[in-house]
Amino acid sequence: MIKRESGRLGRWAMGCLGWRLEQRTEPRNQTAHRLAAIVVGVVIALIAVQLAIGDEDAFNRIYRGTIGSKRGWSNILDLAAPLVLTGLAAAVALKLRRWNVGVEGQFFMGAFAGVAIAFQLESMSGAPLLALMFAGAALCGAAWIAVPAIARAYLNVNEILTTLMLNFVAILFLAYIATGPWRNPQSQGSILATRDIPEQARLPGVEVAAVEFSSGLLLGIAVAMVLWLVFRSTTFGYMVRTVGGSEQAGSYAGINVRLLSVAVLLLSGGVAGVAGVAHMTGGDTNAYATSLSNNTGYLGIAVAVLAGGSFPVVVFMAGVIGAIISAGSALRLLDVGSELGSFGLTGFILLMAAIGEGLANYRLRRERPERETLPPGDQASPAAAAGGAGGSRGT
Amino acid sequence: MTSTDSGNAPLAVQMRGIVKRFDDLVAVNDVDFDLRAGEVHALLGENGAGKTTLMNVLSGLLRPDRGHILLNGEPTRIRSPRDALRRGIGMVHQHYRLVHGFTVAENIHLGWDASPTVLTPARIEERTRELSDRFHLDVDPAARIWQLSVGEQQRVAILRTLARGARILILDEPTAVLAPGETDKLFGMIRQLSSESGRTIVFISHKLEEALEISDRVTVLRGGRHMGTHAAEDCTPRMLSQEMVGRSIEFTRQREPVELGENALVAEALSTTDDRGLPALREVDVTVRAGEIVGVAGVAGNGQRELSETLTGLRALTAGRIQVGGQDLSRAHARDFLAAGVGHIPEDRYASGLVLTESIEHNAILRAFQHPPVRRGPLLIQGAARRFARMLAKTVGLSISDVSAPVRSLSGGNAQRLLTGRELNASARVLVVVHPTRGLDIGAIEEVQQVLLRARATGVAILLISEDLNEVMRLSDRILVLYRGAIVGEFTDPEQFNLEEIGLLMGGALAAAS
Repeated sequence: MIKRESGRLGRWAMGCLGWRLEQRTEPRNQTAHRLAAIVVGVVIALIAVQLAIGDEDAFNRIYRGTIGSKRGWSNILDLAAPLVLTGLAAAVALKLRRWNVGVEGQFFMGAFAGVAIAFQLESMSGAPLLALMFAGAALCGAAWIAVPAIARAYLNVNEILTTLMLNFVAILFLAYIATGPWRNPQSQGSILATRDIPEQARLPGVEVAAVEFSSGLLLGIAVAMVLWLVFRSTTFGYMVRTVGGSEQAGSYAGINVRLLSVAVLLLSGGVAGVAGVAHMTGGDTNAYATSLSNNTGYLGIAVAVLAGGSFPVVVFMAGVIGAIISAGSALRLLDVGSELGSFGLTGFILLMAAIGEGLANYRLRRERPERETLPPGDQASPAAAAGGAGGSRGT
Repeated sequence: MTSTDSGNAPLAVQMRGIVKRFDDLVAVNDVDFDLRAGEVHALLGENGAGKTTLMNVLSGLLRPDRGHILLNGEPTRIRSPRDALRRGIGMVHQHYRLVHGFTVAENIHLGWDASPTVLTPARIEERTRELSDRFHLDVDPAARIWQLSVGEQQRVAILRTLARGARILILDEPTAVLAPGETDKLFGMIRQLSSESGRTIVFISHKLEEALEISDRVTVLRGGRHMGTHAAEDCTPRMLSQEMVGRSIEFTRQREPVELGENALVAEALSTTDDRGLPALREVDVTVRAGEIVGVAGVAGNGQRELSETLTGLRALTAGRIQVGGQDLSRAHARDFLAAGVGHIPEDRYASGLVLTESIEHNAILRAFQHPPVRRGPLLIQGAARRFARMLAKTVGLSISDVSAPVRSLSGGNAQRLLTGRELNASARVLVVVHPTRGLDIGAIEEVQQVLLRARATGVAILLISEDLNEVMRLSDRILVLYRGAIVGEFTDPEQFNLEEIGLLMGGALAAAS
């Protein structure tokens, strides 16, 4: 009841200004709406920061901590690097309208495979060792989602629940490994970690225009390109688009929908596993440790959703989220919790993006004043006159 | 025709200059529409003519962009379906919006202001029984919706609307899913409601004969515009069809005799279960020869879907044998059927036959993407796909400039044209066709039927499953009647197809015939 009243009030207010929302038969320009919504979200967030902190230094800090300095850029890119890969992992599943909420767990399992191979073959030289570590990570990530994938395809068990639950198993597994024979004797407090992986198993950093960043970012971009090509120009990609559009149409076209569904989820888990090992070998934490992921897997899902499941856009959106997190940590010195700073902002901007997507279903139309024509000979009645202005009228 | 004396009855509803736009589509364009109190008024038009949109405006679901409504002479703004019901206007939509796991009584009382505060099954069933008696609508209050036939579900939906005080009852395509017998029952109900309890009824339809049979007055819409309103006794089907489509349509049938070939499709003692695991087909025998159209008549839900799915590899058999061109396909999958030359025009073209989120090109190659030239190794050759799609579009006469346009931009007729052409292209031998013209306008119906007849002439074996009895009789060389998953009758002589007899068999009234 209240909702309807406020809707009417809103319509009335807009009507007074001469504008009106009109429903579209199908959404238009969803990407543009989403981007515009993110920009609006960032602006509102900045205003909120200013109001909350009231320190003139805040903007300056955010600017210098993000796009205003080489150090800021390198921060953003380092934060974006794992998000590109976790975002891609989630986006692969979204192509079939599946939700891989277990990216976090597969990320850890990928890193685990990497660390296990590195410790077993410590004497091996860099390139072949890294290749083995990445292959093992992809397999291990895929293995971690295999049971949810098969259960979903053959028993229709909701993959959101199963993949999510396995994240907690992965975290506990990590605790077990990091307190075992590979334990780092120096680690203490709440952070659990193994000792560092050997030097030759680390990815070199990259420097472009005096901005340093992890080479994992380049790997992420390469994976994005490969995925884009595969989904665009192979029969596999065609089948995924068909089944993603309608599972019934998939079976009708003679596609083995169950097998395809399993394959796509395994691919998603594999990419998540690669994300884990890439972050471990290329990032700041060179060990299998709880500090390896700062909710990277979950943020990857946000990245994929913001990107509308498109692989190239995932790369861009990972940068956006990276910038937001950088901004959040830049504020930490001003007594703003970094969780509030980064996750609060991410959530807010996701909300704005959702609103933007909803608005893509409408368009603004200039109101013509004589919209509701009055019945002839009825002009004299005051009720009818009020109705003409777009106001409500009792009968 | 009903004999209500509504000629001089006061106008219950006057809609004036109604305009409703969706984006750039003007669904209803400056339409005037009157309802006299107590009349049965048919609203005729092709699909997309704006019939449902106009009535959605009257029932409060949509707001008009322009125009106004007078109820009993008073200018009125109808804000919502609930508001419309308060003013005595209720609509029964094509989809009844009933909760399938609930009982009839629960559905009647769901979201109803007048429901008692304490709901016990006994109490609401008693109230439902009273309503059922009052409106002479026979329902079983304790039955669950999923147990009911479509006709019975419709009755529940009508009763629900009447119970909420509707004096003006709008029925949207009420006969679309009914068997001949059920339609007669519905018409009896409509007459009673109009003559005994003075209800005003709007009957939305695109079927000329039905509209003329049941209504006092007829209004025709075309392309969102009002074409005319007539007293039913002054109308002929020909004149109305001309108003509906803007030209006159031939009602004759032109079927040339075709030399029958080999047995292309042989199915013996087919048995299978439905999605709930209950028996859906019981030892069904079907044989279709090359150059023959075999029609399967039956009321929806008697195994048609399962029959089409088993014959295309989408549903496994529990017993029986399927042979296509001598090849055994009893245990085969959908792609094996396709490889053997079986095409399929499915029941719901927008859910299974087409991928609505994708382009025309994507949909055009749905049957061809596994083979050269569209496929090379693991690659999909974009150029070849595009050429194939253009070729197909040209063959079926789609006048589109861009095959990368989304398939949802096609009209219903064009979508079905694309699908039919694709299936005929993919399958030279057998075509399993389900409800090929459902929801299409008269022009497109005619065209799709012609395409099927031409395919027959080139020696394709066609199994035609349709709930439109006229269509089955018009196209088929032989008719089988499916009732509760079994073939209960066969008619072999096209000259002696008997509508009445087939209708009775469809309703399960006779055991066997001719």
